[in-house]
Amino acid sequence: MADISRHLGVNRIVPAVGISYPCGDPALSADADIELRRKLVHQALQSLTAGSTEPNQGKAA
Amino acid sequence: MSSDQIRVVHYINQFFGGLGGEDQAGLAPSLVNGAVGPGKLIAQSLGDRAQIVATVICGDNYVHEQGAAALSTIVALMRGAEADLAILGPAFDAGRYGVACVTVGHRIASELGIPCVTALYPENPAVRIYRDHRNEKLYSLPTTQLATGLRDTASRMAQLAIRLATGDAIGPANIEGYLPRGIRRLETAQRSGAERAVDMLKAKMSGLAYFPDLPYVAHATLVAAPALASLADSQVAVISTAGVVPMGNPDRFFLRGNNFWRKYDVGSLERLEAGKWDAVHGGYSTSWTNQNPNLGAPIDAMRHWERQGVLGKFARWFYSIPGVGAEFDQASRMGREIAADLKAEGTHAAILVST
Repeated sequence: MADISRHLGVNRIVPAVGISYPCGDPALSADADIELRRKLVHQALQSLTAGSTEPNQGKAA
Repeated sequence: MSSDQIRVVHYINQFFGGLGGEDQAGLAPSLVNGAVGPGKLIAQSLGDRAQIVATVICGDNYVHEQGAAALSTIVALMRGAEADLAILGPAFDAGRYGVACVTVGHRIASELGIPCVTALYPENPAVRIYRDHRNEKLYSLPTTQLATGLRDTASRMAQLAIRLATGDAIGPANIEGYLPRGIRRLETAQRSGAERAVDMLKAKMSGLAYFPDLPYVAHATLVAAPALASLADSQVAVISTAGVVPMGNPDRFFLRGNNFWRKYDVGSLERLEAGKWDAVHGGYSTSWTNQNPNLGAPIDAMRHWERQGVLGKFARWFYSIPGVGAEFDQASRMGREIAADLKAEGTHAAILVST
């Protein structure tokens, strides 16, 4: 759903795994799944300390 | 007056009440018997069907400076008129007056349960408040920018007032001509969506008027918050639209079109355990989220980074709203409410998981 966020002008977007499981991948083992989730969340946390306050113009990130 | 005459109470400001201009804008509300100023024109149009029994006059500044106390006084005065209906203004493009008309009208409609009619220039800032209230009993007609259109406005207000007071069914804004409030009612169309869509397209291509079932809403430009100086000194929350709620859905979220949000205490949790949390969402297959609720609300990963010291504090509250088919302005309101709550909780930032 990153395209929708982009279209609305959101400027800190972490593309996630899937619509039905944004923060992980149920096809992976439990350990690999939580590693993936930690990585995504880490990326999201880092994005909070970076980035401009300008709205994006709906273009690709 | 005869007993079956409709009783109307009218609200106007100090200027239209003949009490003075800007120098008198601090005047406290007062009640006068009968019609005053523009009320006399409205009364002419009401004819024998209805009578303005009383007029409440209040200074424009007083309403704004005295806030809730002023409103309560005004409502009490208007209540005393024992009216069947209230008319407020018209306020034309006057901002303070317009806001007073809408705010008083909303209170009167809500507390006295009587219909209210006001009239505003469509660009008056009060129109935004009128739309936000979405009060089924409060109608605003459009006016000219200046009071030059008073006679025509008075006549239209009187006509709508009589229809409302006599229980006449009022149709949608685009047909009846009042300013739209964003209230949507279910109704059965005589023709299928496909037929109506083709009609609309043909009308559009021919440059004719057409009315979509769902009006296009122009989105405001978003300005992002400044970056956090240091994650290790920050408190961060999780918001999710994945529909993750405590098992049994105690707050009774709908599968779609929710217009409220809730927060749940995850302050002592390492992760969301399957079986203790439910996914209520009509827009995606929730079986994976039910097996592992952290897929929709990554409480386990947030706790991990807090333990690692990367994140200063993981906020106690997790914010949830099953986000399917929410109307844009409702979602905007919920966003503002959640933002206010985050601030009140001392949270500096949030990660929003969107399904």
